[in-house]
Amino acid sequence: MKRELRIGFLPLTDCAILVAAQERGFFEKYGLRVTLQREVSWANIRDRVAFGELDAAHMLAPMPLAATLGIDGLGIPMQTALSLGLNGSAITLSTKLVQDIRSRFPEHLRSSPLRATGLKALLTHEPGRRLVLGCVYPFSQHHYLLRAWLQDAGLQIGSEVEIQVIPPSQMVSALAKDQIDGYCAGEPWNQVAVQSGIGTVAATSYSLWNNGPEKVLGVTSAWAEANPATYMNLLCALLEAAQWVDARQHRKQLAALLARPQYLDTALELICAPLLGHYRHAADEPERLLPDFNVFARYAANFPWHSHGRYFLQQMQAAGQLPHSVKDEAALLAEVYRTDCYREAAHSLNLPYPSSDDMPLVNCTAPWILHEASQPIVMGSNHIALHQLSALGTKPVSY
Amino acid sequence: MLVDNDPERSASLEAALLNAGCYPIIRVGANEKLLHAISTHQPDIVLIDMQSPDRDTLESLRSVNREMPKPIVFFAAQSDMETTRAAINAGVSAYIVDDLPSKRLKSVLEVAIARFQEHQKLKEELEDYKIRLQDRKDVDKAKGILMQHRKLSEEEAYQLLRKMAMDRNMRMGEAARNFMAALALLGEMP
Repeated sequence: MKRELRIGFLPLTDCAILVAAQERGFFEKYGLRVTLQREVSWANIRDRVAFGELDAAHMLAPMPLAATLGIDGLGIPMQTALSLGLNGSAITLSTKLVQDIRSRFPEHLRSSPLRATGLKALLTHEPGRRLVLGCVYPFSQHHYLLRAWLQDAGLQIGSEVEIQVIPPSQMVSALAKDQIDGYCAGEPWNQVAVQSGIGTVAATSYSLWNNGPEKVLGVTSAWAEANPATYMNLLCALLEAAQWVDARQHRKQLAALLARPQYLDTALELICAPLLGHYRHAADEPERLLPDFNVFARYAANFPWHSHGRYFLQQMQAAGQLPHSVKDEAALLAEVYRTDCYREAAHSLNLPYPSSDDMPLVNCTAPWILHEASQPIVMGSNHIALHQLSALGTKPVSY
Repeated sequence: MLVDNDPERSASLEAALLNAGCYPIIRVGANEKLLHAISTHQPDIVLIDMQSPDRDTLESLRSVNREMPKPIVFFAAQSDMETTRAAINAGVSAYIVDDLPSKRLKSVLEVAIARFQEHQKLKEELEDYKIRLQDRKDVDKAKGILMQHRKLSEEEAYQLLRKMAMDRNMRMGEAARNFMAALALLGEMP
């Protein structure tokens, strides 16, 4: 069994499970000696995993699917058997822009989550003006959330709003320099902008899709096939770490681990508050209570739902990233979203696991119980606020 | 076009490429507007340091922003996995505009890979040299303390440290540092 592993991550709050597995000894418990390697770009993560320089990595949820489809990178098939958490990102606008909307079109600021109609009103009154919004990677939930949020207000992507890819670590400085008007990114980058006053959060990812997908653990299919025992141990270590990370009483300790120089290298208070469910939207506002801003294990958060994959396929097509339709969707999803591996790992730990590959209920606004499982699992709301996220145009939800 | 925050490496790569008959070459360093530079110069090929976070921005030209005059295409077709692997190992990545002949691309890439590897080796050597220098300093310091406290000759102090290192299977520099850390803990460090 391969015991020495290199796992890549980007310095974001949602690499928490990996950091906890390392620092709390869960990798060690399963006989793994892991080096966590900090990377500067998602493209590096993709290429280093593809060529075996990294065994596994923290990836944006749609990345394994995009790699397998051959639309991102070299077409080396990848897969995931574990989601690294739900929610955890937000759309931030420049405070100047929000103040401009407040003074001219205050009626557009009276909704929660905030809709982009204020931006639309602004552009209608200033024909020729174009907004630029940042997102972290073309194949990311951030990109799809941003598109849906803009389209909900009737904004034309391209002609009215340009979406530009900017690394998360450069978002705040790009906003400060007026190179962009806002962005969608993970923490700590929204809180950094809010604390300094230059950014105001318009909507959290949670408010647009309660408990929606975010990051996953990605490996190449070749690696998974060559190292089945290592893979199982890795999944067990991370599932145990996820339980630890999700417990509220560990969140302060987790924040301290994440703040260390080798991980996020960021001020503790910027990381800590959202992890404890206190989320500030604007510098001059009190914090809002968002206990589910970061979900790391509860609500079957680590399960690689096929329904998430189906949703990403729809979004890739809607965004023009996937020019052709997929011939055998079910086979593709089974190949990329390894529910079988997840179940095997969860079973060995005596943790409850879903027995259905697709989320059986959608758009529940209140907590519910997943009965299609080895033991009943408490689920959170999975309400989706924007129809663009659950369907293409008028097509009904297909999962 | 070379995108590299290390001016030394970038200059040596430029010289090597000029030698190989590639010109003109544009160098882009840290914090310069990459997208602006690309639309201004319209390069045939972009070689980029993998330590630069700008890779994601560069790649998105394909899939997010379709208004750039020339699409930038990720470099290697499946046919040349070995060159790609070597490039990734060396920490350099390349993007081409679609009509560059692949043979030409390969030779440019090979020059880049060689330069990046050479640079990596130099960096490692420098690192190694620094460690050895530090080791020597720490060994001298530990020796001095031993000579003073235990009234040993320099040779005896050296042999004692050497034995300690060998018993613990560590380098002498490490042993010296451990020894001084233990003393500091006991409050006996000057």
